[in-house]
Amino acid sequence: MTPESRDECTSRLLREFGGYDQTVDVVSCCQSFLNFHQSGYLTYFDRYPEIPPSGLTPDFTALLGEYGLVGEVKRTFPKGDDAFRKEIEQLASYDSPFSFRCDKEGNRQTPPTQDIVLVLFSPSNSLEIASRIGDFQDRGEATFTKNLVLLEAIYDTSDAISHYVFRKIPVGSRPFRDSSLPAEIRLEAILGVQKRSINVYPKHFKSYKVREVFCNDDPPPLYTAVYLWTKVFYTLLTPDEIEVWRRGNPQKSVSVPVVPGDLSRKINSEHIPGGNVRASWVRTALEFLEGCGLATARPSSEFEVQYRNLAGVSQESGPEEGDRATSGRIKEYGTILARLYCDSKTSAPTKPVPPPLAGVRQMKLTEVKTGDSDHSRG
Amino acid sequence: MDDWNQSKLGSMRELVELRRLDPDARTFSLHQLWSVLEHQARVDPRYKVTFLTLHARGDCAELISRPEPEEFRVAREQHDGFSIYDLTRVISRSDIEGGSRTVSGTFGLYRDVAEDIWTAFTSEGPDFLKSGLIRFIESFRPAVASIHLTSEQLRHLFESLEEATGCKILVTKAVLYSHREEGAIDFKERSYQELFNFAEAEDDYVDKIEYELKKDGETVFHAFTSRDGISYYYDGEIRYLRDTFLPALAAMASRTSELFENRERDLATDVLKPLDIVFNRDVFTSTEDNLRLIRALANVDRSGLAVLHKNPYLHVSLLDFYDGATFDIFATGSNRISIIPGYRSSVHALSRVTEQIFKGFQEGSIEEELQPEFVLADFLTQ
Repeated sequence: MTPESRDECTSRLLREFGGYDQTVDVVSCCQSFLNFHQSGYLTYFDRYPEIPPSGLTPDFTALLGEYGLVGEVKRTFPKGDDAFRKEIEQLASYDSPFSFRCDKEGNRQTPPTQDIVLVLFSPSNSLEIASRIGDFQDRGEATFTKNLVLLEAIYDTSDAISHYVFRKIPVGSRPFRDSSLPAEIRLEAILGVQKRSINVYPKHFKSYKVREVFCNDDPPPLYTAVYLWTKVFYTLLTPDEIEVWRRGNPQKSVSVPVVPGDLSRKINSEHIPGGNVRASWVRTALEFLEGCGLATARPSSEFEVQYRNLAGVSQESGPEEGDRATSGRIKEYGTILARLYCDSKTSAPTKPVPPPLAGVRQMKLTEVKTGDSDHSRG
Repeated sequence: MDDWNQSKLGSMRELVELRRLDPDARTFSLHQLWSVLEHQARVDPRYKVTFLTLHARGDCAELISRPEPEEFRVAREQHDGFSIYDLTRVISRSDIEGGSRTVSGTFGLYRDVAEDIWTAFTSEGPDFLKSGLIRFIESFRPAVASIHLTSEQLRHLFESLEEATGCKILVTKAVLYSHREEGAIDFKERSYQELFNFAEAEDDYVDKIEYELKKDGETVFHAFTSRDGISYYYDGEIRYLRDTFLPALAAMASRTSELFENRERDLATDVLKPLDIVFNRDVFTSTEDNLRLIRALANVDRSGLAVLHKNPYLHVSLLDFYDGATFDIFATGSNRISIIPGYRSSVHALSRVTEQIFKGFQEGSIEEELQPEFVLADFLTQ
């Protein structure tokens, strides 16, 4: 097998980043629609469900009074029968009745009626996937006591404003059993009987995406690393370190100690209140940054991050990749970190980060490149 | 204050004149100061004054009297409604003969009637202005922020000036830039409305304007202004700046900075406080438009940009390394950008981000985004 080239590696990482971001979008769309549309009837939308005692983690659950929806978002389904069957078995694992989270405090209720909604964000073959799922059920290879409702999500660019469109797939899908809700807001009435589409625009879902950032799936390390670099690490700096940057050059690195468990707790309380960012996500992101040459693993689960503004990092042009700003001319963090990582994994090893001097924190005035500092003029 | 500083401050020409007029007074009022400026402008045809309009919360006069960078040395003399500063900057650099040079001069500062707006002024030459005063003020970022005006706001300022003075305004020289291409466009000898109409038609933004006020065919005032709040007095009746132009500029800057204040996300209530930039035409019509916005934002100096979603809708995240302000920026419609500040935000950072959008992408107007209340119909119609 041919080793992955640097450009292939970068493109793959950016594709994974984009795929996760789309899943975050789709979950945010579901959350915004149910919040606005069902306000007053939506008891709780759980973006990070963990179902006891199995520990299953669907993409979301929504408790609507007496009715519960467990949601799974899929961007792809495998072609082979065995792999396809495993996906169905995963859906079937949500089939037994379970309790849903019903408030921010973590209390739970078990709604008498529960359905599973599978959202297929796979525009080219969602009908084919739905048809295969229907066949599996018809052949008795997969049986559900809950109704398995199939929705497709597509991205509509034909309108002046691009937006996500959700509609019920006509084959393979069972109805929503949401008759406990008022007739005018029942999902089955809107999506099933009336065959309407739900259109969700960025203006609808952006506040949910901004607040939540993640979904319940494990994020690619690049996604978490970009989040940590652009939203979190700065908040770990001391006032003195910020002052030195303010007066000088933010491309000089600051050594920031990070313990994954501590940081995930901080994120879930101070950055994404009520979030469920796992320590393992932070750890894999820090390991990824280690691969970029921007962090070093230390004993006792601690990492030392060499934090600075990377916007001046000189890079050759990146690969052309459809859905992201990958041009080397645009200095954006997804591309910068992906290329740093792939540089180290596919060519000469990255120069190791020097060990810290005695003491935990230190300002490292190792100038990388004085690109944006204007303090040298005068 | 030591003797060295005292003697420097005493040499400021406006103070010398004030003390000549009233030798016994220990302090002078802003009104007296303006009278002296007016007198100097009348008697000395070479007299030039530069005004810098700034945003700062709290006591800016006190703040800038205590600079931290070692390259600056400052002494302050407080008066009634204004302060005078003597500033010395030692610039050390390898490309300077001898390794360093010194820039020194005096400037004044007063608080405008408009909230959180201050005006610094100096009659020193361009070297002190650029290498001394402006660099000194910049060293207090983000607590002290430059103001930025759009072409439309500049047009409104000139309309106010025209209405208040009854004079015709002739643009003697202007610098315009294209949002899309490199390079400046020079514009000479037209009415100000022609200038702004031209900029609008050509999709340019107005950067600098030198202008004259004409009354009965005579030039009664000659000045310059730029979109970053710098005004030069060149000649004629300085009262037009004092009474009309500068107060109108301060009021406009104050309204914008008020929009930028307290936008950070509240951790306790988890309330987001987004701002919208609204354009008067559709500006997002293709993927290339998203890229142009990304490029514009990537040019915000000392910032880090992450593109979460580029196409077809746009979502980017921006971190300002000056103060840790973060923003999520969405293209939410064909004529609208939404800026959602994170847990840290500042007037300085929002001012930088919006100005870069206005220059590198398109100028628009800034509005507070109201918290939407959507209903089912919003999701069912396209």
